[in-house]
Amino acid sequence: MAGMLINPGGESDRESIRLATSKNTLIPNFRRGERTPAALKEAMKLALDGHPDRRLRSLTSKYNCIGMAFANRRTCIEPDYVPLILREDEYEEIALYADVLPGDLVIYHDAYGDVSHVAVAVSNEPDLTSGGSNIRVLSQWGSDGEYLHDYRDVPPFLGKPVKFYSERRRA
Amino acid sequence: MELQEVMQKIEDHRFSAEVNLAAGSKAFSRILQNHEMFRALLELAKEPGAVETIAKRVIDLSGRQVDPQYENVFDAALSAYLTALRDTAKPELIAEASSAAAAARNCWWTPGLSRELLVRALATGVVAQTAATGMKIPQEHFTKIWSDMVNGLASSSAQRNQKTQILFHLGLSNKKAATQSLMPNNFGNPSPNRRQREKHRDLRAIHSKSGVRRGARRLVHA
Repeated sequence: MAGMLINPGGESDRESIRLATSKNTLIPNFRRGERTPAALKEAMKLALDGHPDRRLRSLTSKYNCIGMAFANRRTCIEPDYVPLILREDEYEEIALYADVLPGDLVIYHDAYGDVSHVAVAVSNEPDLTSGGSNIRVLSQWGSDGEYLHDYRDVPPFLGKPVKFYSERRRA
Repeated sequence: MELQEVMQKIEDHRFSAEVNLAAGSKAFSRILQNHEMFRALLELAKEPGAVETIAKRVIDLSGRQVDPQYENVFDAALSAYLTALRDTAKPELIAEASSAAAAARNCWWTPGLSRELLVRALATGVVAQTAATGMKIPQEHFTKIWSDMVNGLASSSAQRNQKTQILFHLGLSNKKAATQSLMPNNFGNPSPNRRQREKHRDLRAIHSKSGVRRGARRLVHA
């Protein structure tokens, strides 16, 4: 499935798609197969049981969270490439939660400080009780399906939200 | 918990769902190392005869028939077993299990791990023994190992000395192998050039039908 030969995930790999940053740097990627319906249903059960605020959007394993955010749900991209994509696509960090708009990205880090997950913001409502923001996001959880959820409400294995980014242009 | 019980849980859909939360291979490895069932497996693997049982299970699961339209349901389990063997078993057993796992169909995490273990077996000379016992290692793994050598990823003199052995397995002369290394992903593809030509022809047809290029020219003239 994953590329086996020279330059796996690269331009010549039939298991990948041509994908590049806006500066034309190629982004290695792999197209993953579908997991069995039984495996995906178990994954959904694990994600939703006891979490009424989470909603399933799509149950597929063909892309990962980064492929969802940067490649229109067509492929899987290793998290190590996220800093490169953010830099070359000129994403800017959003300092204030209140400034987050639908379409902006949430980047999660694991305990080692590496990128572990990416989510796309879909709404941002002020939280009148705490004075903070209720940010809802959409994200693919590994190969376990795509969910709508609060940006902080993810399984521990996906890490913790650390930064918000946007590629919005205001010129 | 007994070894059989732990192995049963590792082969369960729930374990697969938990470790498949990983977005990438590094995260997968970290989730695996922190998973309680994997830790239990690692502890039990230290008991006498346990690594042989795990290796046997790898060989058994790797040979199972899989539905070609879906991923192998034992992918996560195979990866967990190989990782446990990597940390606890002798090189010969690791090579035997990883070569069997390399042949498992439709896996996502297992090929990278089994390849890594085969490279290690190659570097330590275990591959020579596996060859002597007639162990079957998929051609693409040898090809990748060889390409790693070409690219200097495995460039120690001991590894370079294994090159002849790999070429022997592939049934390739030096010249032919060198030519193929310059044409990535051509192994096992009877006519890659024809396929590429057809792809480009199809793209040209799409462009001409949609008038993309003509439209662009008109825009320039206007």
